[in-house]
Amino acid sequence: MQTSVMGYGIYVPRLRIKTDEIASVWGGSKGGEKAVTNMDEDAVTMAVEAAQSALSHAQLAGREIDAIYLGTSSSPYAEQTVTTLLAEVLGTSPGVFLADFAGSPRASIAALLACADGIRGGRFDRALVIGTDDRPAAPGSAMEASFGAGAVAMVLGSGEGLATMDEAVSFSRHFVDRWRAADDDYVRDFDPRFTRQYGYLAHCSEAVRALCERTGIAVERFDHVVLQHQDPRGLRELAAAIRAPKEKLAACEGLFPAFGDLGSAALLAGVASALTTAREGQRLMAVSYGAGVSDAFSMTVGKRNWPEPIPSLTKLQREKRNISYLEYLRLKKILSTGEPPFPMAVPPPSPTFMRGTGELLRLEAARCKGCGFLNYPPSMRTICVRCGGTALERTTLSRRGKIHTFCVNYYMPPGFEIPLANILVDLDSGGRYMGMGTEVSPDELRVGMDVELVLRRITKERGVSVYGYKVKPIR
Amino acid sequence: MGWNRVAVVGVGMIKFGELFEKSYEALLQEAYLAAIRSVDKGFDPGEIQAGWLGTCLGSAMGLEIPGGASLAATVGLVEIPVTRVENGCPTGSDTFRNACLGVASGVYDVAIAIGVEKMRDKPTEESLLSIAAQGHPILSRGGIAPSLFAPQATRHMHEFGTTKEQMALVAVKNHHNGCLDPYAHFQTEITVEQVLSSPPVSYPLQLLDCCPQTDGAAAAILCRADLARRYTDRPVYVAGFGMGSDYLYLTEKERATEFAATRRAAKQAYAMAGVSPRDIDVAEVHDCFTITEILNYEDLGFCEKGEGGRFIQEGKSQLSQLGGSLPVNPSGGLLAKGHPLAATGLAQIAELYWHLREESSVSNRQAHLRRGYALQHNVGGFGIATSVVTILTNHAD
Repeated sequence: MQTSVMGYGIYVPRLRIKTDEIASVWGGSKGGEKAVTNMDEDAVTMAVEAAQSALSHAQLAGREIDAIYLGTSSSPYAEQTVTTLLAEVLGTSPGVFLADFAGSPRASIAALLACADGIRGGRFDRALVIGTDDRPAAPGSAMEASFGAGAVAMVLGSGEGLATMDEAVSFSRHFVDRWRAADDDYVRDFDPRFTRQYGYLAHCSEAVRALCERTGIAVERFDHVVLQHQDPRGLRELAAAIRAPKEKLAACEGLFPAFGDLGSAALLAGVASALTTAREGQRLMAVSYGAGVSDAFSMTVGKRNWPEPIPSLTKLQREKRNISYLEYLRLKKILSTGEPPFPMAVPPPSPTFMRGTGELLRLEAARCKGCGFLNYPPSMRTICVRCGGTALERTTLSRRGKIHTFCVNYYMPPGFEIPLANILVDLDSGGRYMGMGTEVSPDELRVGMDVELVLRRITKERGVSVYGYKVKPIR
Repeated sequence: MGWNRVAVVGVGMIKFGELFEKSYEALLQEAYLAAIRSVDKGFDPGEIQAGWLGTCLGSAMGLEIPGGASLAATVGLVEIPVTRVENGCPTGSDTFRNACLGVASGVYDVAIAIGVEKMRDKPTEESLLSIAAQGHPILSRGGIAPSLFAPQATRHMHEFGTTKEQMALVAVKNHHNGCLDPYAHFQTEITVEQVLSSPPVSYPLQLLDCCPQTDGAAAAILCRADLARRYTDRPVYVAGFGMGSDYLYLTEKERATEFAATRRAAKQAYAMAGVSPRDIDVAEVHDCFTITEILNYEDLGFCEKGEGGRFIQEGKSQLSQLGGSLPVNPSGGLLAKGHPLAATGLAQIAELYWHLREESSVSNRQAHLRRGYALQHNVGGFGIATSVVTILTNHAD
């Protein structure tokens, strides 16, 4: 059965740090900048943003998705899945198939190929593949200057779409490449020259050779060659090794200098960029690499009648904000007061959060069938507060609205951003939401301003990451 | 009405402030003794038949023993029942209200209401932020005390054109009054410019728009009105009281430009006393933040909704000596006198008791008495969903 990409979405955090800024402390700049997660962002929140964009690009609702395949090497958990949370936020049915892939920045490609097989085999009709990463790098390490952050999601489905998934091959040999033990804070690297030569270049070259053999198509006959890479040098050397001309690398070579190494999102971001510029009938080759495994796969571009996803990479890049190395250290909690974050009223693994899943992750309210009032939070409102009615039905609130009123707090305990806006929103769907602001400067807040609700990490306690909606201006 | 009239025959409070050297129990005992000693014709504590102890942070901070026995045991009244009251910022006035109910019901002839709060034995952050851990774990997160009032200020500014200068005038007035009140935490004059240039706390509120954190205690002795002459020739009578509630979250409230609990409490109190806002000669109202006092003018019916900013600007709430037609917070209010939560309401009762008796201790700020009615008000608690209003009078009938 034909398997196609039906839509895609990209998310890159708003914050950037120039590698020169890092080099001003540690030396050794190579130019460019990298994307940095804000204090309330992580691999999960970025995955949500990318997935929502991809679903909207494919014009699908969450409940139409049969499976979610997630690939990341920076899940907040060593044990505990995060696809269950994604499923709640995206509103899939409880019967959705969930798969979490991990282990290296190639995890997302393992997820992509497994998902494509699931569709090809007829098990799923529409499925979501997400690659997301926010890998931790030690201060002063080369990886600190290269590890970016971002997420890409693709909707795969049977039938015609933006591009078909064609052939795929893999090549693997066991050796220790970059690694992070379960109790390590940062990714480690033994000898970059050894891993580049023996690992990256050799594995990718073998995979490319195998793909050309399988498809009977030589590298130069592909219109777009998208290569996963840890740095521009790796890209340059691999392109030379497989004899891929520079003009075919256009889609992927601009990503690293702008965002850094996006890890599990990197190759998918390259494919997404290629699709954005590709013409009907063009062939695309993509090559992954991570920890001793390389996959190469081919795609063929379908009818060119789709718009760019929202937000586009151009828009994400336009809204960027550069930060200093000190701010970077504070966001990464390397620079810290040592105080634990202000605790939640109840511990995050408690049943309160299970009962609150509807309001916290799906943004549900209880609509009164009598007077229409939207009672929120529904886990705490079983009688309509306006009319006393007891016939209530769950409904989903809109994630957009206008500011009704707000304040900005300048004194907060550890674990909060300062200044911190508290914003009351009149939602487009009716109903109100009160939440903390994110990525907002106090001076720009106005009554009546257009805002959206975005899922962010509220806090982390007992190792549990707690997520909920914050309020962000629409720019 | 089917209730016995209630009189106040003695009040006492301690100098409010950062009382690092005094324990919670010492605060309580000092206010208790001050109330006992204030009774004109002398008073035997053995006549007290029941007590109500207001203390708010006891449960939140774990420092004090918050049960009613804290009062009974520390002043030697172990024979009597003591109920502990905790109801947010109106705890003091709700303590007084419950003591009133005890006497009005006919079960007790003489009762004591006492409110005590130790705010400063914990760092500012911990006591201020204990509220941030209440309510819904996420929807309430990121809230601090000022952020329960600042959004109303923002919206009031948007809808009615209220200005930060008008809010600052409330702080200037109350700090001036505080200079005349020896019990006040602060005794310093301030200017509008100082308020506006003080550090931001929660936009649009600056530091001097906010009340301080204060230790304090205050008490009142109540009895059946027909027994009051045993204790004093100038009793003050409880004309009426009311208590209103509201929705807990701003997402549920009908308007962000009012505290509806205040409106509801006031409506009950005016009806019970058979008076209207025009009959009030002097008021002690909840000015935890400057915007709160402006909303109170409106919600208590001193002026129309939206007119609160003009009410302060036109000087109507200044002391009688300065030409105010309805002096508000002659004691300095929460802004200057301080806000030891459970002591606040009872300290307001004490101030009004002195004004209605035209005592020499308040001659420097004495309200001009026309009708002989005084109004006490608190609003607060989680979501600012609770308010108590008490109306006192010097009329015997």
